[in-house]
Amino acid sequence: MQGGPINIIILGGGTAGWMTAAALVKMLPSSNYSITLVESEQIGTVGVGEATIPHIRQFNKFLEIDENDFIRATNATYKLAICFEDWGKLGDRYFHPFGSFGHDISGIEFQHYWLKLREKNMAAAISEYSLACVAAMNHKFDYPSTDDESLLSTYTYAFHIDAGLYARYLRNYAETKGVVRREGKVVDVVTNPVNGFIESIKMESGETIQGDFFIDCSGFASVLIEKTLKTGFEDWSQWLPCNRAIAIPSENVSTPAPYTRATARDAGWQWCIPLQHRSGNGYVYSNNFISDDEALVTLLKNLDGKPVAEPNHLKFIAGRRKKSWNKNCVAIGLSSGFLEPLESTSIYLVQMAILKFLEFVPGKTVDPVLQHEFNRALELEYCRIRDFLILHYHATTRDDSPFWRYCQAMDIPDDLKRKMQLFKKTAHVEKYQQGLFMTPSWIALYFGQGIYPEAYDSRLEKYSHGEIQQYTSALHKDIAQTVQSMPMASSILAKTVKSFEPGYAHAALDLYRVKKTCKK
Amino acid sequence: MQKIKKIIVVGADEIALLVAATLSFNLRHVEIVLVDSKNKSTGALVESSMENVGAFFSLAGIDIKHFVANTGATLKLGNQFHNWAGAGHQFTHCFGDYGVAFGGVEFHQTIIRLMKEGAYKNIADYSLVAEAVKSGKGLPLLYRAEEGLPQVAVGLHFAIPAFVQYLVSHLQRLGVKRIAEGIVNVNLADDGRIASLVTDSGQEITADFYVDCSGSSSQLLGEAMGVDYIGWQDVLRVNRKLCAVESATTAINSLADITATDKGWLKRTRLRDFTVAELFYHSDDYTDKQAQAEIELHLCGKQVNYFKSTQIIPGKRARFWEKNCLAIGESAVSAAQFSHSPLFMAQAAVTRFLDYFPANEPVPELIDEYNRIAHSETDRIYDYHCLHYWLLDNAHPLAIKEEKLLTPELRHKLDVFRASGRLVKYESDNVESSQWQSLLLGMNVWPERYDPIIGNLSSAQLHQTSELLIERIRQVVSALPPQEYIL
Repeated sequence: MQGGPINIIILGGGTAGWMTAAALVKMLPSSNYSITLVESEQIGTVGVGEATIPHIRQFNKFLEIDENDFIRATNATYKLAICFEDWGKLGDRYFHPFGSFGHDISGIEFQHYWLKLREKNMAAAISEYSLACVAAMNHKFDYPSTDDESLLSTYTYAFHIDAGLYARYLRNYAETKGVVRREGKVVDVVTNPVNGFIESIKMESGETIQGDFFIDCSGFASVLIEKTLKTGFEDWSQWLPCNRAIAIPSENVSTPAPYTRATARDAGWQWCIPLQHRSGNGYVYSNNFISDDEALVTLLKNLDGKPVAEPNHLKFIAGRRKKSWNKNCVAIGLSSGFLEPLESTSIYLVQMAILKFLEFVPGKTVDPVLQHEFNRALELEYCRIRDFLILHYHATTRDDSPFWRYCQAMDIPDDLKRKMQLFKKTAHVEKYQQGLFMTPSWIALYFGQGIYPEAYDSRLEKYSHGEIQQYTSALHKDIAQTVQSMPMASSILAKTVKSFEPGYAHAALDLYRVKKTCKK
Repeated sequence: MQKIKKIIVVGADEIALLVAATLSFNLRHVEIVLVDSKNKSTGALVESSMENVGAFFSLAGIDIKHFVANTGATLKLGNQFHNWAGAGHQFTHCFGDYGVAFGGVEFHQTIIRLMKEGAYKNIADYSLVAEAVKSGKGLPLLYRAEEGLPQVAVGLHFAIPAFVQYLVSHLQRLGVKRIAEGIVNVNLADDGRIASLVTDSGQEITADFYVDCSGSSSQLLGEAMGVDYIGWQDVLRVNRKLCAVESATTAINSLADITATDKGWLKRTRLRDFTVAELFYHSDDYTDKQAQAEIELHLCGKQVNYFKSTQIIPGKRARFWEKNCLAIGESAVSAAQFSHSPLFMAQAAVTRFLDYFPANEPVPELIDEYNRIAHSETDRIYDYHCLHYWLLDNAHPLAIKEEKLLTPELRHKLDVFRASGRLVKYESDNVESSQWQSLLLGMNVWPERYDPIIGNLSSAQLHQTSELLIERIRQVVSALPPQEYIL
């Protein structure tokens, strides 16, 4: 390539920074691209114990990382679902699984059949038609199958990890493969006076690091994308009012559950992420509805085990950077936007930005067409997750606190309004091709939070209730039996941790299966 | 709210029959009545289907094997373009995939790199379907390629009269009532809904819902309810079609031939016993007589029958569904066909309608949602058609010459493809990526670069992989049965 390789400078060494560095050094030819990561050990990272979604396994596979080695290095536990408590109303509990509910029959989605049975009280709880839900509830786990005929192909899994350890793990990976790490604090950023492109960053030591392209992984600080380039921020707090979090780790009091817990509280919600050696906890809340002190009291009162560190206070605003890619800089991670970790999407959003960036990776110059497409794709990704998160708050009958009364009454984005209306009238979940959450997720949430449609697919008129029940009860029984014969999640984990066997389980960019779902 | 218990489908052509059959098969509790106004027909003689033909039939409750056995349908595996991107240019556009994703990126990136390195021969080499066509092999209807090979897809060629005959008895089996009369009047209620229809004999008939399959005149939605038609004639210049049927002289061909003629384009579809030729053109460029002369130049059969030329007005209805009336077929949309035949678009419309079919009287939100999705799907199909005319040799009178005439979505898609070889995928874009990609590459639209990720592989590695793939495709295809044995 003319003029030597393209220098890509990554600023920030948290999870986002090292994931980016690892993926770039793995995928880009070293003859054409050189990767440098600049970080300061004095600046901490946000990583507090992170719940992930199955896509992280595809990312690891993409890097050819041994999954079992990763589990050991990050104190990981298996995760099959998220358990939501007290959302639709106090006392509610439902699971959002990494798997499907039943399956399509004659091209019609399962929820329609279930709704038809429900009208005659002939249906079991929707979760009992999902293998992932039943396994999660019973603390069972096994590796999914790629055989389409097997019930074990109807789910997939993710991990709870220590994100700080993951960053360290990837740092080792990236450095071994040739990423240059520069230690130190950035004191200034030099831009081109004509076009405003970033030319170099100045370090506290006085040294200057020049680059052709910059990736801002500096977290909330947004040193390049905002402080330097003034890209602008789209504020979504009218729909997602939480703006504070307190995180605190605690001792494990029992074996870790194979699911994340998200419990609604008076002014937000509390997470519990079980790792091998401890649990990550946090209270995400809005300081318009509760003070920091009250929030801390609530959190400490609701810990399963003793706290093992001082609480860590975080401030944020829900929203996203107006452009993830501006001039010769791409923001990845918290610098590109913040969506609360209610659906464990933080690492996923990092991963998607990396994959899109690799698709449109610039040469010596920036092509505005590709920049535009990158921004368009990322915006869609963010907005669709945003809408799904908003639904958690909005689909509630809770009126026991000002926070919940606000959420219930707030105006929601038009796209979401349309989706909800469609579901309420027809039990139909709007399909999209790009975006993370598909029918099983929406179904879990709608039914889990008490939204039941007025009608189901008219084509079901041709089947009697008895015919449908015969079919679904066989499935129901099959799932119960299959789960019964699955091992406990803790015993599989113990085996993985103790043995030194490598693991390369099947993985795909899919929330519900280990094999990419076939179109059609 | 009132339950929908009865639907009247207005129309007599193959689309109306298909719609009635699909509705009746899926909505057993709803009475479907077909009012088939006798004198109307789309004038289509042959269906050159899209891929995924199995789903097309099963949605209407038709067993595809039974259909093939009873109608003499033959395989369709793609289109053969002649002289499209310029005199002498040939391109076989097959169903299914080209190559297999390799090194973490889609295979066409490999093709682009091979091209840049001078090692590219023909895109058809990477398609299992194209190889089957080339070697005169047939692909069984439900054939799935094994792992590591490009996936296949098949369609069918069949005669419309045979299809109509088949549907007539299928409708009888389904118990669909037919009234063989035309509609002379559409009575609207005060709120603009259709209240009743009056037939030739003066009979007044009513239903809870009406489907307008009356063809381009759109008797219900257009004429009676006043929903506008948005014409595309400023961009898609084609406005006439002339058909001819000749006796078969060549071997059965699973490709439809698409040839850019002097001023129009000719599609030839070979059926079991005859070949149908359809010339698409603009009336300013050819008189009907000249059009006939143009077809003659390309025919080789002994007996040739010409039909009257018909008018085409490319465009779409501003709303496909209004109150208690839904338009399907030419009453809804008309595009000079490449891949999306009117029959397939109609089936997609019924399926979408069934997805949103209201148990009770339809609510405005549902109707809006149907229209929103149907429009965005239609617009992407329109893009795909426009792309064909944009790729047509620039000197041709039907070519879209200025890029600004394309939709912003298509322009962006082209820009991104030219810059990176990546294909933008929009919501409601139901054309497979592999079809867009192969069409662009086959028509010589070469991106500026290949994906930097495959820069990780050495040239030798890449060439070897590509040669191995070609070899494997050949081996697999050589073991397939000859095409005559398939159907």
